[in-house]
Amino acid sequence: MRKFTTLIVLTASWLAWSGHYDGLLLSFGAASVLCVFYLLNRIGLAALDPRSAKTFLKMVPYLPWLLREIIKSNIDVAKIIWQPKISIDPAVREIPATQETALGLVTFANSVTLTPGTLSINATPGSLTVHALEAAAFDGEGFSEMDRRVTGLEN
Amino acid sequence: MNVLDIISWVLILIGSFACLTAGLGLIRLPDFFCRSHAGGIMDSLGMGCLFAGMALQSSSPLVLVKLFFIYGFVLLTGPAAIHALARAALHAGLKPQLGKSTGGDASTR
Repeated sequence: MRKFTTLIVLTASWLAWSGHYDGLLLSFGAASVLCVFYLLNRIGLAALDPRSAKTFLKMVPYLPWLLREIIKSNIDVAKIIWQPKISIDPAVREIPATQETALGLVTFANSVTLTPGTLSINATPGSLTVHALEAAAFDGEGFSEMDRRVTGLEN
Repeated sequence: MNVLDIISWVLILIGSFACLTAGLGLIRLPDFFCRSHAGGIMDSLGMGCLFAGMALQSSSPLVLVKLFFIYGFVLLTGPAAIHALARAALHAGLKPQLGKSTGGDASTR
């Protein structure tokens, strides 16, 4: 039943995005929907998990916060790059990750990487290895706040 | 020229400047891991401002939705690619340079 929902979602998104409704292109659309469905089935993701759908909905209020962090750190890194003499203090550290689902951990790791100046280089359940352009990035509440917010997106 | 046009051009210029900064960072920063940070500027601010600027130029809602989704996919795949690269480098035995470093362009490595 859930697999059927996936097929419907795929078909609906193809129809909404293509804007072409003649026979030839519709058959291409059907073929690509079936292709994607076959691949999803192969990796065992064809049945939509309602928990992931809920997490995606909860991301809507999280994104503006992330956007503000991204803009702030973009300005910091741009300043470093335009310095006449580059002065940086790179560091690698483990930070705790309290997410329970794979999707939550991926969201946290991606958020860290999206924020310029910090880069997740390894992710395991429970902790994230982070490379920072400035060791000062590990001071303060930055990472624990992001971790808390992403964990809040789960369940 | 109306207000929307002006905002759109300002956004596109900021986005272009961010992409230029990212390129400069790729050349100027000392090691592989630091350079990956510069790539992140391109994905987030560069693409974001360029897409926002283009969205203001578009006339149909369908184009708007498409631009929005393309940016969504860039936001999902960009960090994943950077993460995969960094992890591969780490597994291949590349050690990140740590500690303070000052001085000119270390671009010879």
